[in-house]
Amino acid sequence: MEREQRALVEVDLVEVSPSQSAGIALSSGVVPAPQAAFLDEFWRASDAAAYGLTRAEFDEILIGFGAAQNYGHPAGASITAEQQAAYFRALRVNDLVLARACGAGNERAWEHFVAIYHEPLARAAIAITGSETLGRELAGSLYAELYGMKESDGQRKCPLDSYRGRGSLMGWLRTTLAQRFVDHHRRSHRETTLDDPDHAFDPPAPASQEPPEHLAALANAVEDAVARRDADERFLLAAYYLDGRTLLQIAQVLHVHEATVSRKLRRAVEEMRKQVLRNLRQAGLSRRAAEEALGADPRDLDLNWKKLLQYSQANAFQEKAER
Amino acid sequence: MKPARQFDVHPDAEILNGFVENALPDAERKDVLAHLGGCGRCRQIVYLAQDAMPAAEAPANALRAERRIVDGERAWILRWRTGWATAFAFAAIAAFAVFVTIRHREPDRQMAGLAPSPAPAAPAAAPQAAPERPAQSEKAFAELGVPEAEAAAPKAKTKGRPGAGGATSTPFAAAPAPPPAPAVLAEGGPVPLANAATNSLAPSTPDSAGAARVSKPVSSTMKATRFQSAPQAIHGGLVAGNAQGSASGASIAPPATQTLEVNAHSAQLQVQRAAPAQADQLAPLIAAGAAVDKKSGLILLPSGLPLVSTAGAGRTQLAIDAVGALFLSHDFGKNWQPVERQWTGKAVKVRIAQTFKAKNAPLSGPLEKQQAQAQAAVTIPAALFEIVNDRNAIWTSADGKTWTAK
Repeated sequence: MEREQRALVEVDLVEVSPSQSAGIALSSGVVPAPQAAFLDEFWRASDAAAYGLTRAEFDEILIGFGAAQNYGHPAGASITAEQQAAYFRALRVNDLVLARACGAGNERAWEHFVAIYHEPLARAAIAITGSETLGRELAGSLYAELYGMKESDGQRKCPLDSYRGRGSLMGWLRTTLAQRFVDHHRRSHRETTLDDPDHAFDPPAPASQEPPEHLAALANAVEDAVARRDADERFLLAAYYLDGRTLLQIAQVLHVHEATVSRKLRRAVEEMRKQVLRNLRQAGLSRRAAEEALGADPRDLDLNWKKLLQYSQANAFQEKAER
Repeated sequence: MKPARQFDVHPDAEILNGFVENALPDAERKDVLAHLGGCGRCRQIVYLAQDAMPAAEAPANALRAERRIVDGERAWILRWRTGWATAFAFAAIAAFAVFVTIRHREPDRQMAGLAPSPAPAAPAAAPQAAPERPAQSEKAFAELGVPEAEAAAPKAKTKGRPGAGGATSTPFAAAPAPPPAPAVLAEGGPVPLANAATNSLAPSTPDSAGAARVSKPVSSTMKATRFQSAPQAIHGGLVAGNAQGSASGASIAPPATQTLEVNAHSAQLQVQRAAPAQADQLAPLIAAGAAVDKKSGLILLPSGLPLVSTAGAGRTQLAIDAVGALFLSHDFGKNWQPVERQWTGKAVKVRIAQTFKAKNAPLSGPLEKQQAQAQAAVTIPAALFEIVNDRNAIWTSADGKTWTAK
């Protein structure tokens, strides 16, 4: 509690330089009529005026943000006013303007932000950490970070600038809190999972001697079978068998019914089993021998399940980051 | 791992939150899911963010997801519905094709079913024939050891058997008087008009019974083929009528087809296509607005009963209904007026009397004599309309109103 109050005091004492607020300075340019039409619409729907944002600031934020993203289209593509309006309609414009205004250091926007999100953010942090103390500490540290106390290359860096309005601002704050917590936990508990501190799925110590031939074949067959699973099944297998999540929890994440998760999971396991059998038979084992090989103790297999399930689909995000 | 590097290789909070809130497009959601399958860190973040979501927000996201799933299911159902619609369309077309095929084959089947029935043919006799002729016919068929209809069918296709069965008559003498089929009228009753039309068109081939009367000038000789059914007369949709008529005709008269050598100058040649004429006669009735039963396709007379026999000349049409009542129309069958009963028994057929009338005496003797007889028969005028009752008695009328026994 004390930490949180101290953090808030620190937040209040931070000064916003004129250069930092230049991002939301009024633009002297005249907004074209088509843009003005949909900007009017968003202005009326937003409560930006409630926390003191002027219409010019509002327009500046939206047009600046849209232009930076090229309204969701490839760079260089010419965008019509209707496409711009459609782009903004798919976003949470109200949250986006508030986040941008806060990121730019608008004090009245910050007051509004704190009034709205202070308590929910604290509750979310407590829920994430499982401890009120840790939760409030986590929320306070995020406040400080959001307020731009960190600097990079002499520029105040506000994580709110990375908010792009695709989900709710509260959801974004929750996810950011979860990110901070997980990263902190992984830093302090290196190479361990949150729910499984006993390393149940860590590979066993390498055997001193070469594994039997049939076990090697089985390991290869399993490896191939796992590699053939699609993204959905990989997630299900990882969430259920590695993370130990319940069917209900997985169903909530995927926004499907629990029975659907159960059915998909059962199908994935059956398919994997068949694939392993096929692989074993292709490796030269008879059907009976292949089925017997499936009865081997998994601990005898030289398999790293985490690595097996580590999928290179993340390349897409790497490519985005490289851009 | 530093947070900054994490952002480089992992989806950022914006995307993960979009995944948790189900706010990502499908393609991006799949990318995130694929990453989550192999990334324990991001899975933990997603779990934590999900768990920290207040219950008040969760239903909204669930509702959104549910809507997406429902939309997906709807799309699936719609796809299947489209498939089913196509399948149903093909099935309907196939069913229609089968129906039409069966419908077209129905007359043949009915004819086939009726042809071997000997009983109705027994009392049938040509109007001009002597009363003892049916007996002769039965005797003849009894001698042959086959049912009358069966015997008649092959005979209808047989040529050059002028004297077969002993019931041979002059080709032109017997031709104008088609064999009545009262038994068919009584037993078979009316059948759909479509069948009648199909049937009436069926024997249009020259070899078929009742198809045509041919009297054709040839330079030296000609073949006159005689058929049994009456030209221009429709036997009220009696599909079996023609077959039965052929059969009964065959039982009392010569074989259905006869070939006669005649000189080219011996007769004024007339070609009357019976079957097309029947179809042509029905058309004006329907076109004129005669009442047609939508269910059965039968033409209904003012008595409310279906038409069983009709004949017409110009605008004047005569029709007999199922109980033997005669109706007259002067406007192609649009309006009918009942005709007072002036005959005995039950009228079963109305027809146009031929423009030439044959002598009752059968053709006999050498070929030259037969030709002379035929030439003489052609020149005799006849009454316009005839009705036949169920005892094969004939009444004639020129105007359709006044009838006299023949």
